[in-house]
Amino acid sequence: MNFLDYLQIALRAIRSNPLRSALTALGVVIGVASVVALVALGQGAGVQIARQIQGLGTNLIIIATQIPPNGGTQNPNNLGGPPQLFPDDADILKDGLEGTGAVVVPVMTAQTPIKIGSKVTSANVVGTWPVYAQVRGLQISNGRFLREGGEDAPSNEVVLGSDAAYRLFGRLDPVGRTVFIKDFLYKVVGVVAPKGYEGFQNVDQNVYLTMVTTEAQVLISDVVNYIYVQAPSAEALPQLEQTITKLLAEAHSITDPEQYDFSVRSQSALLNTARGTLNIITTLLSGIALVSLLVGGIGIMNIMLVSVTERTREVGIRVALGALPRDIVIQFITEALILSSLGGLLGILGGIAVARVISTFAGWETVISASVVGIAFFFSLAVGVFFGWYPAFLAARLDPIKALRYE
Amino acid sequence: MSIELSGIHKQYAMGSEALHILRGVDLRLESGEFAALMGPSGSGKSTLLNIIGLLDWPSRGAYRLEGQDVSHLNLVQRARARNLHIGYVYQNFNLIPRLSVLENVMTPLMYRGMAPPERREQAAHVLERVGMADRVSHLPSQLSGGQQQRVAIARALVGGAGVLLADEPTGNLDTRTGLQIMAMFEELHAEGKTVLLVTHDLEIARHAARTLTIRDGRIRADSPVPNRRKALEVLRDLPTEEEAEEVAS
Ligand SMILES: Nc1ncnc2c1ncn2[C@@H]1O[C@H](COP(=O)(O)OP(=O)(O)OP(=O)(O)O)[C@@H](O)[C@H]1O
Ligand SMILES: [Mg+2]
Repeated sequence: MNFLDYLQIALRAIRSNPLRSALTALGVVIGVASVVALVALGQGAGVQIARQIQGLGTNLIIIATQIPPNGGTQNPNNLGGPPQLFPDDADILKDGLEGTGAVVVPVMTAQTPIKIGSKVTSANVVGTWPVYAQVRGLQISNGRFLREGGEDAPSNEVVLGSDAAYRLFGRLDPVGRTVFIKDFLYKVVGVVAPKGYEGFQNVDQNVYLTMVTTEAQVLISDVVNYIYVQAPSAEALPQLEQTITKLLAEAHSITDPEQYDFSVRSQSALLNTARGTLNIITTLLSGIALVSLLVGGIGIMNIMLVSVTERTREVGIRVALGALPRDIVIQFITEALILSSLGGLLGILGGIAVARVISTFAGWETVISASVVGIAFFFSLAVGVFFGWYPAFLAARLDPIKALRYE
Repeated sequence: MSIELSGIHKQYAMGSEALHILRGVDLRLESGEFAALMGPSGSGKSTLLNIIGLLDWPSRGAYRLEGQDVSHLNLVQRARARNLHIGYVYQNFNLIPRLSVLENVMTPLMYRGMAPPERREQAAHVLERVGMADRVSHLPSQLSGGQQQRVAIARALVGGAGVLLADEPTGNLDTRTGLQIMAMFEELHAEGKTVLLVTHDLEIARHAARTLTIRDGRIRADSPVPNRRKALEVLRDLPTEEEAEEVAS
């Protein structure tokens, strides 16, 4: 009795009831496909996020708000409400970091319509300082960026992201033309070269105004979303983070580090946090997918039990002809293994296909790693052996005399 | 191959009571003997056959096959002994429904570990012998009862077993087909196989050289058959189907 004999017996049994076999394997197909697809999406998202965070620029420190345990009411600039950053904070940092070589850039954002004539499109207004272009490495394809020195009074200059420019002006050169944002007329002074997605935002749809302009004419408030600080070198980062923390704590009159209403994070710390969170989510989702694989395994066990019952007499005949219990066990486990490994293979292909479709239509990146494919296949084999074992064991334990009488 | 049973008991526990089916069977079949085993329904004929066929264990007693004590063989050794020495033929044929005729006959050789080409050759050879060479790729369900029984006999023979155990092999067949099957058993007996045949039919039993009758758990009668029937002769004298129809009308 060699391996091919077992294989042949099992294949015969599977082929004798193709629909039932296919439905049984389908349970495993779905389980494996969801594991593969989810991990591909998770790993793809990881790569994408890493690229985006790195794309923020090098040696960057990002300052944002966070809600401290006590709710954050100590900041004298903040009249109640959640913790916020203000233009003053940016000025304080700029003055405080004078001479360190660090560059400070605050950013305010707002979603607002932008129009020329009857043409309206939605734009992400980015209100910032002109050094933004340098810190974030913007390439200007046409015209120039916002002008230095225009930081104190509203100006009528606007710089368009490439998508925003195309939507408003098509193939025309926008430089020198005018647009309306919230009833104020602006003159286009430049267009930023295409850059693509950053986070979940298409930065090519950005529209850049000076911060003062944004504050006075778009947002009508003075809330800063983030402050970027670019360090002169990677070595300067730790010292700079400490200085920034000290300056902001003083400005917000907070002495207890536990109660800081702002966070100071370097790009690499951000990367690690994002990756950590993503790993947790991916693991969790794959765990759920594994449960569906388990359900597929139970389906195999169910059908194998039916199969053993149906073939009770066959087992009796085989034993009478000299089959050993081992032969019977291997026969049925092989059958379960074929079902589960077939399901595994199809599931891997299905998972890859699903990942492809998602990345094509949703534009998300996906990564199919050999290790995940290998692990998924291994799991499907394990499911076959695990859930095939018990029915096979029952078959081998059948009393041949009773089995031969079985109708 | 000789068979020697002494003091064979078989009992089943049915709840609190013991069901004593065999109560000391003593039996000796010499190598090459052809015996018929008779007895009322439920007397333990199939049970005895299963014990001889190493499928069942006696509760008590000694069993020697070709002089060898086989009472103490373990599961694996018994499977091996069945495969090598015992051929079974059943009333309901017991072919594996999904396998072709050829594959059914090859199965015992597969469990023996024989290589596929050899199996195929040997199986084709016995199938030719039982007159089924032109049906090798049929499924059992595509065969008549008599044809299925021929395949079953081929399967019992293919491994070169010395003992043939047949449990009412003609029970599901009409007279003519039954006689054709009996002709095969006669031929196999003539070749030196030990044949033990369970039957209810006195006429069928008369093909054997010896009849054994089991009752109340023991062999109560054991006698030679005075004028044995010869299957081929009976077949020759049997009216053909057309003649039978004429008689009926
Ligand atoms: N596993 C079992 N448990 C309990 N009783 C059993 C078992 N197997 C067989 N018997 C009993 O043993 C008795 C003998 O059965 P067996 O099949 O040997 O009879 P038989 O002589 O072949 O009858 P028949 O001519 O009807 O085939 C029967 O009464 C049957 O009910
Ligand atoms: Mg019986």
